[in-house]
Amino acid sequence: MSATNFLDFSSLLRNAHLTEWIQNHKKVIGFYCSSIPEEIIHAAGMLPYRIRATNNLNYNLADSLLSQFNCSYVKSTLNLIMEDKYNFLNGIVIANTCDHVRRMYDIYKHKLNKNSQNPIALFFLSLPHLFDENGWLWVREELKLFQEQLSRNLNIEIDERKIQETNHLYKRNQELIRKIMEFRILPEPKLNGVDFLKISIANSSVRKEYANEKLEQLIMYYQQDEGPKIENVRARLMLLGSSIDNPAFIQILEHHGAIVVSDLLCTSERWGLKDPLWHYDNWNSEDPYYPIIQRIYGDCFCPRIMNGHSLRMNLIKQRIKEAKIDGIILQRLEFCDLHGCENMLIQQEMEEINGTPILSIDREYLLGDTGRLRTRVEAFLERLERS
Amino acid sequence: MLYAGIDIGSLTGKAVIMKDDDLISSSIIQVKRNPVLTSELVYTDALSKTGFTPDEIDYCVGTGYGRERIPYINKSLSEISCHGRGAFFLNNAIRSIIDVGGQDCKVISIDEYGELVDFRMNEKCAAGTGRYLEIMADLLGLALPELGAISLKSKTPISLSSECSIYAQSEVLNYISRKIKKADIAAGINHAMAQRVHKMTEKINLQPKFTITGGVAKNVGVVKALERLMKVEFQSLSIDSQLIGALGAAIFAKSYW
Amino acid sequence: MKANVKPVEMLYEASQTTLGLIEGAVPKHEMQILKSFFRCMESNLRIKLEQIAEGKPIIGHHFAFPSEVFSCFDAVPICVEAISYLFSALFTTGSEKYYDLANSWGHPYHSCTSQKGMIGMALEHNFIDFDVIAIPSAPCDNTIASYQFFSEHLNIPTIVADMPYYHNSRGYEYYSNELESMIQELSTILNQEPNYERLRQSIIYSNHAVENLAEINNLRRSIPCPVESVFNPIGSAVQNFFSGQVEKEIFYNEVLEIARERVRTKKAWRETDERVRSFWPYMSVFFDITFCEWLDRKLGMPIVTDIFNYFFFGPIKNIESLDTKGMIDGLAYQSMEYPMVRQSESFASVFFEDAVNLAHQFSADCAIFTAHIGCKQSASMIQLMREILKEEVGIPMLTIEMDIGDKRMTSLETIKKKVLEFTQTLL
Repeated sequence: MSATNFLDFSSLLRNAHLTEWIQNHKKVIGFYCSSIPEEIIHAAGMLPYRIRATNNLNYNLADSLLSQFNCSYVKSTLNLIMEDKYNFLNGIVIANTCDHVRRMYDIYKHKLNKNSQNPIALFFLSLPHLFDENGWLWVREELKLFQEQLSRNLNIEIDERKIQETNHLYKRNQELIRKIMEFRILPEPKLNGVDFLKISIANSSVRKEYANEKLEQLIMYYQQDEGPKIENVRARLMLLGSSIDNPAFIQILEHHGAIVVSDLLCTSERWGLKDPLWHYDNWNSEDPYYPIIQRIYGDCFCPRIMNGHSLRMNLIKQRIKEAKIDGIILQRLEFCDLHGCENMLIQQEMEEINGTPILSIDREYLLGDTGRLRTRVEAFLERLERS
Repeated sequence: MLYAGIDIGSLTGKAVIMKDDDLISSSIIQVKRNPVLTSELVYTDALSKTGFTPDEIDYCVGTGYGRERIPYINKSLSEISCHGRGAFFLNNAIRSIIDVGGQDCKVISIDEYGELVDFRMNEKCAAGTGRYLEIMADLLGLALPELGAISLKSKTPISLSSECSIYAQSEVLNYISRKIKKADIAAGINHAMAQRVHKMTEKINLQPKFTITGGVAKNVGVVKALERLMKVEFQSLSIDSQLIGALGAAIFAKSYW
Repeated sequence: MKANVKPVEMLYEASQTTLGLIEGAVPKHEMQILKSFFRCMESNLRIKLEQIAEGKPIIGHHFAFPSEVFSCFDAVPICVEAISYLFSALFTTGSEKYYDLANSWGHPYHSCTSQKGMIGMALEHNFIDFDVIAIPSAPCDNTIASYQFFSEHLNIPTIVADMPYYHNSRGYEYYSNELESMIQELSTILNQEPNYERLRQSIIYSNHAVENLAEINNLRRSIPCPVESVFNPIGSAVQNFFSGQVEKEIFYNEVLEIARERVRTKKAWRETDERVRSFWPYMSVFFDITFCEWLDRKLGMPIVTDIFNYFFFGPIKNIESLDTKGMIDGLAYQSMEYPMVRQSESFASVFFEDAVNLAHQFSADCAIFTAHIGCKQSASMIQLMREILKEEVGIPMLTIEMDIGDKRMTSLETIKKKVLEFTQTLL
């Protein structure tokens, strides 16, 4: 299997690794957001699988439960769940990360599990909306409670040693993703935005031991002198905003010769953030939960952290410099209030400092009207070229 | 030198032929079953009025919804850039263009060189586009071109409270059943349309002078209502408002050649 | 220099005019609850404006925030959401131009108009010169996202009390600590020491209000319902605008007297007999409160209760002798169990249980759910709510998608049409 075959895992819900895992009667726990402590799931000997809406074609089933004011991405995932495409899950972990996602817990509890012959285990985490000491301590307690619940529910022992081992694995995984991010921002990038998203998605749908092996192979592939190289890049773009798990969207952005060399999406580059976004100094770094708390809480780039906006802006500006960005695509899913409002602030601040030009896009998950989107992107690139 | 600009939209195909800086021919046709056929027909029609053949055209730029499928063009550009360039060519004092077509509404800002500065496009909703007017004209039993002129006779225009074109239809039907004058209903419809377009203009920093292009520019009721709302006067352009995109494409063709 | 408080001045003028009109033109026994509301409103706004003119600092707050907390300070609390929606109720075009301004600036069209009104006012420089803003991190994404406009773009000091998702002892304790921290931060910003005896007095007012509302709700269970439907939208305004202030106690006192009298005398007080009792699991319509009169007078379909006008908690006990921690603990509990917060910022089972409970208690014949575009967390639960009310109470539910603060999304005419058609299926 060539290194780049790993990217194909993003185009299917059931990849080869998952299929084998299930055939060996091992458990899979689904989750929605990057703020879920998948390390604990992994330490419990299960496969943490990030829920996505790959290959969903409509909202017909989901519309019977959700309203027209709900996020089309969450709706798409629900549609797949109702079509039984996620019947490999043994459990699901949800947190109060946004109004749409958190209600999936209630839909499972009051409808899906209620009507199912094989109800799955449900777990919930309450996560803070502020960076502060209280929040750190709360998250620490939540992780402990989650671990106990997981153990009890699925009859599995999770000890400290296993968590430490998992932490090393996840740290290595983040380093490897970071390395691949470096290939994106070269003067002649080794890979485009589509491929990086595919890698990120594949990375979130397999066990990390397997992922690390594949990522190491990919790094060797990109490192080769004769390896891939993208020349004559029309514009170097940064992509920000709502969750994206569909490479086809980025394909549209890159259709006219631009390359997305950086993004700070929760499904993508945030995983490889190098420096902590926020840090709590008064904590024992030997605590096995420490790196998990830092990742899911201290490094949370999501606009749901109410006192994190300036930290997020600083990171964006830093990344613009590092990646030599020509233009920013600020996209928001319809009905996504969190990114909707944050994008507005980002745009205003960029305009005030005569910063990097921005194209704002409002979209739905299912890519219906790609012609109009292409027109916008093309006009934006034309504008960048002439300025 | 000969240049061509082709604009294939969702409802009409347009072509402009230029010889140096002079517009020598143009054509507007309804779209056919596919954009390739539309582009061939409108190009042929425009050329036929000049006596030139396609081989004699030095450079051709395509724009519009179906631009990527036009087989004979040298380059494609967005209709946003092309509308900006076309309007600027006709009047180099223009800095803001509002283009309202059958299914799209665009607000375009250009600089003193006619270069694109910023733009906005409507989202998927039809309420600020020609489609909205088509639906309403149909309800009133009017041809689309009549909707503007009749509204000028209104003394007491109605007010439509719903922004959604679906809900607005039932409001219009209600007015019709109450035997309110067509002129008054038409004026209300045009005003609601103008309000929608006006909202888009507020999302972008626009500078004078202004112009309006696209099919809806031919609806004098909408144009006047929009002028009132925006407190501006639109500069009229010397050619059919639907040809501005194709003209801009032809101007770009010259610059690329 | 005098603080800019133009929106408050505009509301004060509107309240005065409306009060003068309804007291002068409407017969004494008619619209009593509306009159009481405007008397309290006029008085409250007048006092607030006087205090502001004296130079007292202004605290902007979220509706779900226990503004009793602000009584610790010699300051003037003003509810952000109440301003937006009072504008939409009292002025012809309401807050529309402010919503449009906010949307033009880049605020998403689907975000909640409750904050958007004030955002638009700020963009038009017709804002309130808040010294500080205090909010919880609940009950929804709009609270979390929209307030960052005030803190990041306008640089108004903003203090957030982070509310956990769990409504249990661990959650209440956490939130109590948050409130305590907030009081300390307010003290620093306002440069005042907190006065906890003023807090105690404020809670006493609130306690009376809670007791009175409980009794009002006892009476509202009567058939026919002795309280007009307009009590629901204006009750929401009372909750948010007069929270912790004497006017809340006064208003509920007066409503209670009116309701008692009607139940005692059994005299017909509305022109149409009660035909269908409607329970509204979520909010009523704010942009046009004449809708409530139409429900009562034309349809005989009173709103027997809605989400805002029922407290699932009692008064804070032993308030006379409670220590500071006890008071703050009590407020933390109440604000997590506050109407809408309780049902929105927690698992939906609470929402469903409350709805079933209230539908039974108030002998509802049907339910009407306002699916407000700003409330994604409740819109997600509409179908389940419909099913549960059908299964457990046996009543049908009508859903109306709208913006409760902006009539242009779903016009009053459309809403009335839907309600009328729905009623016809019930009779």
